[in-house]
Amino acid sequence: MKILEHIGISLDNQEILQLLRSKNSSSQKSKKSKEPSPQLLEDIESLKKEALELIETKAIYDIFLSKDLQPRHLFDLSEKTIFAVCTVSKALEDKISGMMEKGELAKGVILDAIASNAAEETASQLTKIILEENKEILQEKMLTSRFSPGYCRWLVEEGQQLIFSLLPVEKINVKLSPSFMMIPRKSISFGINIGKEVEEDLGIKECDTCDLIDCNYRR
Amino acid sequence: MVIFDECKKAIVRGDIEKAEELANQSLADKLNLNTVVDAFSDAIRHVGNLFDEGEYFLPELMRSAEAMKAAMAILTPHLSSSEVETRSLGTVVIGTIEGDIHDIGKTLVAAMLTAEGFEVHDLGADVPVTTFIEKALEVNAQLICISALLTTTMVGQKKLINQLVKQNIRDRFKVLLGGAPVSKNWVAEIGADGTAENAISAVKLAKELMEH
Repeated sequence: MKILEHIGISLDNQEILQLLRSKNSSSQKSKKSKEPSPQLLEDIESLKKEALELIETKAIYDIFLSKDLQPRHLFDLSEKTIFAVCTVSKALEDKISGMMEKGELAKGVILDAIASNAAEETASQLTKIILEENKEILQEKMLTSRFSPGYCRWLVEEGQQLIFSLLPVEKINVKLSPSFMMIPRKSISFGINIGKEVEEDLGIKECDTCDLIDCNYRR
Repeated sequence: MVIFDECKKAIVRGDIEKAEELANQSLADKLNLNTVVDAFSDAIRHVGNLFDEGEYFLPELMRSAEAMKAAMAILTPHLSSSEVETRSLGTVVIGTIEGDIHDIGKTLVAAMLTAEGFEVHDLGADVPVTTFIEKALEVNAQLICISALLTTTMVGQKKLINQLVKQNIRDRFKVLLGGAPVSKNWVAEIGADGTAENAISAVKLAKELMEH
């Protein structure tokens, strides 16, 4: 088991802006979709500075044998599975909540999008670090993409209980609510399967290429 | 009149200070306040459409909602109670269900419902089913909007509907569901009245339901 802190991340304006667009306009690729105004870009830059002062990235991970892991449809081709949880800090969430409570909705939604991007970036950087730190184990093996509870036919409750039972996640100040929600909310839990026969395309997919057409999260 | 155009521009630009200034000027000039409110209302609907069409980003929509709220805070005390009642599109109780602390989507829907003219009672997040029902009865709401962001907390939406049925008051309220995992199938399965995927769609749906 390994704990990591101060994982370096860079925030991506395009990703932040994507989170701030109407889903209708994104899905229709509306011809009217415009470039962000200078004011909006200025607000994003200013709030990114505030966010970076509050962000404290932390992560925990370990590698487990896959043979006893459930549900089998996720792990049956896998030899070993990496489980990890990362977070970007409670202070940032408290700042967002404070803004929303004060009625500063515009700033609040920008900071929330920045926090979401920070969490995704942390998970991406963490994945790179894990793979770099475990080169020997991964030699001549295939890897899946990251997959998280709630995706890939993995029930939220089932996945979260498994990951939180295997990793001492309290060491990075992340806990699970009775409804299996991670607190702080801007945290990500995931697995990566390792093996000679694992399906490389298991894991995070875009909705329009996913075969789960009735998925509750499909957009 | 020029001032009405300025009211619209202030909302479209999300200029809170200007919206407040124009609201105060309308009072000082003894303008017909219903016409002033209509100008503000037209503008917020226009902004909603701009967001839906991809012309506006979410913070711009929210800035306009903030400007609308600021202007209405100045104007509303000067409207007669009958004018307030006539203008109100309905009374809404809104919150995120017990066990779920996601708050932002629900807050945005509340802000847009308020901006469009609904009387909104926002109960916050992690709200028990009984609190939704007690508040809806207390304020004589027509709509209950209940948000859940996880499949594990969606079941609370079903509990609310079941409890309304059990108390024999299901017909008194329209129930709108919100949250990323909520689908039309789920709405039909639990017998709710609709779902919307963003704040603008939620307002449109709320208005439609109030007309029926």
